Amino acid sequence: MKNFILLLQCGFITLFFSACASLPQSSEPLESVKIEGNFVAQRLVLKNGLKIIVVEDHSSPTFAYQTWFNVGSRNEVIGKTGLAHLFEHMMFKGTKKHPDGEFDRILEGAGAEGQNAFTSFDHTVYVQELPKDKLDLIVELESDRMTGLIVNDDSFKTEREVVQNERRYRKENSAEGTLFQSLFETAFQVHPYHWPVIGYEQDLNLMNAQDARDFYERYYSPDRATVVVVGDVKAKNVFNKINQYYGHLPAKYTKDLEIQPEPPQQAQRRRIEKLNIENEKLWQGYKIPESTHPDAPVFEVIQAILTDGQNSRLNRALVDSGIATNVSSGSFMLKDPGLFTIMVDLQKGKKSLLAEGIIDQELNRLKKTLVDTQELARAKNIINFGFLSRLQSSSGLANYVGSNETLFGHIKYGSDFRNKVNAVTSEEIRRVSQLYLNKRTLTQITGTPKTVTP
Amino acid sequence: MNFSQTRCLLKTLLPSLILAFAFNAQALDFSFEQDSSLDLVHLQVAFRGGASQDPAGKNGLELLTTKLLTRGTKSKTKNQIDLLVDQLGSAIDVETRLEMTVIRASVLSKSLPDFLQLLSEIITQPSFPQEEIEKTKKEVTSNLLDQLSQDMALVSTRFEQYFFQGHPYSRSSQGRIGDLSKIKRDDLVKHHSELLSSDRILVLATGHATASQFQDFTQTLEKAARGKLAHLKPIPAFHRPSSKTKVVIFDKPDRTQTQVVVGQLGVSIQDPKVDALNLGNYVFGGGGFQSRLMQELRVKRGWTYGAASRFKLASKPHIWRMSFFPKNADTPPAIKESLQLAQNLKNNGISEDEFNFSKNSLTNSAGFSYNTPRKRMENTLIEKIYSLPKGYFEAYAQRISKLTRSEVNDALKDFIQPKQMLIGLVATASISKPAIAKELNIPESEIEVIDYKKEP
Repeated sequence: MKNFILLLQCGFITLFFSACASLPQSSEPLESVKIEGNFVAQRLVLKNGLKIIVVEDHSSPTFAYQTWFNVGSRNEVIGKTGLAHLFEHMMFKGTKKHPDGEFDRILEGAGAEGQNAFTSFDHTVYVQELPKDKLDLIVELESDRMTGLIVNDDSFKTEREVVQNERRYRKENSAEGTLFQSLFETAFQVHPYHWPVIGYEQDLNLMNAQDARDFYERYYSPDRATVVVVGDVKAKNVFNKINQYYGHLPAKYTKDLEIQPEPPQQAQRRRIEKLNIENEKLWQGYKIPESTHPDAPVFEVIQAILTDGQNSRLNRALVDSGIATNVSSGSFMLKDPGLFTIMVDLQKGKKSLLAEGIIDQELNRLKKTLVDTQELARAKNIINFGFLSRLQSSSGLANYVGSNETLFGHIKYGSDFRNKVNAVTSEEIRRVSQLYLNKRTLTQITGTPKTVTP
Repeated sequence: MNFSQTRCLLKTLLPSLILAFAFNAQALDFSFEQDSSLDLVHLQVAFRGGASQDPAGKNGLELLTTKLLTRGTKSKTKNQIDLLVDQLGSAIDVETRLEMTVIRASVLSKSLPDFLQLLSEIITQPSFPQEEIEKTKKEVTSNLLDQLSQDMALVSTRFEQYFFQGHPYSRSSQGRIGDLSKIKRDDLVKHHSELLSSDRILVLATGHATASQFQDFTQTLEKAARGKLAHLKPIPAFHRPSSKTKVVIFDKPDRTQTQVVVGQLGVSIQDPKVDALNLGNYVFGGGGFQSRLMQELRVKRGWTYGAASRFKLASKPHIWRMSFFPKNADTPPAIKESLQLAQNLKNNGISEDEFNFSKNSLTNSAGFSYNTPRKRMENTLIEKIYSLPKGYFEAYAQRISKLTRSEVNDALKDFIQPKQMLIGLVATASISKPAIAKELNIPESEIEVIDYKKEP
């Protein structure tokens, strides 16, 4: 899944408080980080390593509750692909205290909204929105399944079939899914980003309940988790309540299995996928550094210049000119080096070769000519607008907080990142384009119609 | 709109500090709610009508007309408009629906005055350059072709086009490839003039601004629309000719999975039984993991990743449909099971436990349908377009709480017609047709097969 980090300059301040007596004992002091407007994130780390971040917003009598686990398909091994995601499904099964089906039933009865979960390359997230008086309920339920899950053989088999159907839907019968899988399989040959988050059919078929139990034992513990609560709550109350229910859960401090780094790409890679589509599609991926690298913020601005807004360079050159229907770009902001992607849906009868030539021209322009002040300001305006738009709901704000905490290790670095984006200069854009957006590290997938309609 | 979006309720949940404002600026309908949490303003300019008003043979007229608003005015080229939109930190999207078109705009608060000036020019003075018309047609055509690769969206579109053949509800809000070439510049100019009718336009806004900031904007629209009336064509009620179960396969090669929609004629949004049916649908397939469809098709059998049912609501009865997507081998038994579940719902209704659970769930979650200013803006739009009473969404929980189980079961008994369902599939016919015929005990010759690329 794309993990676009949208950014904005904001007066970010970090205030340090000493933990006061009315708060739970913590391993790090309580901190406040201003996000934007009146939104301030309060962050506390319990003794067992569980991170809690609360943003009070009393505009609606509801709150979002998200649990971010520091585990994803990146932590899988060959032969067990898809296990992180399949296990995410199992988390909705029973515990000793709440038998199979009760978790969903209780939350649905309580009026929970957006009850869901998602798994990505780097993390796994469980999300809900609830009426304000249901804080105790969700804290009890989520803490219970963090360490008390029972993985039953029969329910595992049924859920594995559900996941196979999800895989057929997202990959096998989807042109975009096939292209996405093909792009990452081709670009990454050693690193776990090579395989799809949903896993391979044969691996899923061979998986059993014991695999799921082992995965749970290894990766699900408070020290690998961040609980984010945004909405009509009192931070102090949340800290105490979470400490009451999660505070006794033991930390495990298990280390990740060794992850093979992807060797530097020495030559471009190309692949053609024959698909049931009418118009060609062109997907490119350029190798870029990990999200914590100093050059990472520059890609946000490059994205805005190339494809954000009708007036962006590639929109002008490809869509306005009648060659493509859509063009988009974005950096996969990942823990390990990822990809900067450019995706083009061609118009009827237009060839991807034509689009590729135009993309090359625009990338060369970035490498040779400095972006002028007006265009740079336009790009940052779009980024700022997108960032604000993202914060307009409790769940959107919680997602911003959770992804930044998980990706950068601390929400305050997320704010740093935003400031760096707004400070990006034309010279940096030129340097970073020269360094990373070149053919040597390009992976290109072309989707072509299996049959051509006259 | 569907029922899952209409879960709402409890006025007591509304935040206490909302400055709401509504006026009819010389008959132009305008609503505003102040929200100072972020420096953003959101605006909707809606036109009653939508794709259902497209003339026969010109499906796509409303879409093309409104898309072209941002592609040239009397004083600005498309490029100049695009540049201004970006420079102001704003966005404009146009969405055509069955019975309305909405221009959605968002802008940084500091840019609001300049943005409103631009938007009023876009709406009242489009120039419809021929070059842009041709480009837009090609884009819309390519988008429609791209949608052929998205099976879930494809089955929904094809199902509705087939179900409502000959009726205005068969029009697609995305247009029809075969019709686009027939739409000429004169059609667009004429349609734009008709859109600018004072009884057709609604303006809604929310954000960090004041109502008075919109005065010039609404007055400009009002001036352009003054004295013109919409003359919308009335939508006739639809009567489906067939009275028995019918299967149609939209035949697409290489499918390992089947996208299934099983549906019948629904109810109007103003139908007095709509709340009772909503609760019944929640038990059946609208209520997430506890619903009967989800339990039987996914949780117990693992046949599908998603399984749900919903009403599509419009001014006249539209569709009530179930949808799911099993692998090919599981498709026939999954369809049979869904029909049996529908029959069982008709015969036996819902249990006391199910009734109480659903009532609680719908009531408790009701606040989520109006807990942000943008949702409230959208709700106001729906209320006005469909002539629903003000506060319709906020009062939903109260209405649900007054329902009795017998009201729900009586409504379900009258409404559900399991033996008259249309079953639409995006599947590979050579694989699926014989097995479905066998499972449903119907002759293969009665299953209609249509190439998935063919627009019904």
